[in-house]
Amino acid sequence: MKKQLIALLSLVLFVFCGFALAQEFGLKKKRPKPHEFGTIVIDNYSSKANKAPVVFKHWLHRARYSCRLCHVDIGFAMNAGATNITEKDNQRGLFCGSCHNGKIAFDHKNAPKKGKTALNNCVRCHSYGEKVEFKYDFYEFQKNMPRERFGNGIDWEKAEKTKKINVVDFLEGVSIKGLKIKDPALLDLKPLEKNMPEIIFSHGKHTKWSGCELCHPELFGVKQGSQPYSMEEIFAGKYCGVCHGPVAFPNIDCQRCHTKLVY
Amino acid sequence: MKRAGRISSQGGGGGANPHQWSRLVLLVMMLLAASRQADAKNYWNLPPLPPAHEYGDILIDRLSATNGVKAVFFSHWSHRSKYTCRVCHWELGFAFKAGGTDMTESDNRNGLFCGKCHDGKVAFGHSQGHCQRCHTGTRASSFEKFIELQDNLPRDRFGNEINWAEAIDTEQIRPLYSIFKPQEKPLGFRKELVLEAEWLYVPPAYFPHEVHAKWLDCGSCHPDIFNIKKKATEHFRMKYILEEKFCGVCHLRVAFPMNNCKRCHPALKRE
Repeated sequence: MKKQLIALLSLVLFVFCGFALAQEFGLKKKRPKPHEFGTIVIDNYSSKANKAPVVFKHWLHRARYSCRLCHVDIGFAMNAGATNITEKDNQRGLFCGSCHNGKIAFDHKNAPKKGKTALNNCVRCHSYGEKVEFKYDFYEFQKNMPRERFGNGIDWEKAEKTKKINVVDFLEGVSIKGLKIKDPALLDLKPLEKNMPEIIFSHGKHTKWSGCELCHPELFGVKQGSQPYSMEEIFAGKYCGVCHGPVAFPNIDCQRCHTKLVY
Repeated sequence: MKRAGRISSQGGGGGANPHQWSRLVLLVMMLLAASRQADAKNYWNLPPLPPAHEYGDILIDRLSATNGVKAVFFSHWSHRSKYTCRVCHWELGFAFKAGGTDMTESDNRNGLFCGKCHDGKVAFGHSQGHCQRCHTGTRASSFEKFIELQDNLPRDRFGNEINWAEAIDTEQIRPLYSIFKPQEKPLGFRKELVLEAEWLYVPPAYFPHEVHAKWLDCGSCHPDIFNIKKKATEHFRMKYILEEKFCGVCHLRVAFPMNNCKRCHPALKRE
């Protein structure tokens, strides 16, 4: 009887949970604010070790470094938590520790000192749910940047072009010096939906930040036209959606890609 | 009632104490029946229509009352005659539900949300002396101003009793399409969808992309409210629309209300 009772109760729970979950459809999702956009929380081991999870701000880092430097040379995954960074890794100079070594950026050793929370380097990253006075304020930074309407509200591409920011793509001891590639021609991508304007993909705009390796050959094969992909997949976080959604300008800005008018 | 069916078939095969078992099954059936009855009761309950000049008026009280100020009053009609829905609900990121936007006073001062226009340049700013203009604590649409607007626009039966779609078509109003990119125009996506009704004798609804694209952006509805897979929007039923989902996100309280059955189901014989 007890077994049956448990089975029955779990069935009732299942029915009502199903009901509750089903209420999520047909509604608009909440959008992050400009300062929250691209900010991720990493909690592979922190909570288990009684530390606050790590908050990583893309805006602060991409204002100085290319995407390629961290996601190719240093080897960060493209999903929050997928890198499985450990404290030891960092102290060995991997991942965050490649720069956060006390030379390029604040290091990972500084133990908390009593009454001097400002000097406590731990909370500068392990800040989720903590009250931390950060050194850099997003909206102060944003004031001097060319603006865009979505994401961080910053036109990063223009900011780089007009030298408002200097994007470093090389880290001594980690990166190798490569030749600059000449920009290939723009790609004209035909949408599957015939009423939609064509997509102009610019390699030039991407290589400054991503090089070749960030996308090829894993996200996109290199044989032209050999890999059909759809907007559904992009919305689901694949292909362009790996970056354009969570970090690069979000994919709701239709006309920023669908630029070639066909009507 | 698939799930209830599963429960009773299990109940039939019950073992040790059939009496207790059947009582439990009965309880579950009653619970399910009660929830269904509640559903049925609410099924056709359209929200009551306010007077035309108050249709689309909302009060936002997320933090105001707790911070000792009056709730914010917002009138849709006074804004939509100047700006498309897209400007606020897509470019500025307002939620589609009163109180659903995590908006704070400092956000406004940082130029987000209301503060994008209410900065003292485009519209009155967020400074001393102007507080009461939004923090009214009550629905305060001006009847006189509304009538002045309504008199010059094509009429309709419900909501604001203004045919907003016709007003924009005939350029009697020219709401701004984008506050960021003046050159931007609606995409030429004119596909009309025929949505077959689930119920027998209910004629199909027609969905014109073109009419919506004048006010909205693709990204206002896709992919959150409607995914973009063809004929694959799950739960897309009248029941859920009436719960302010799908079309009901707008067409219950702001866009023309669904009392106007024929505007979507044009072949309906009577309303």
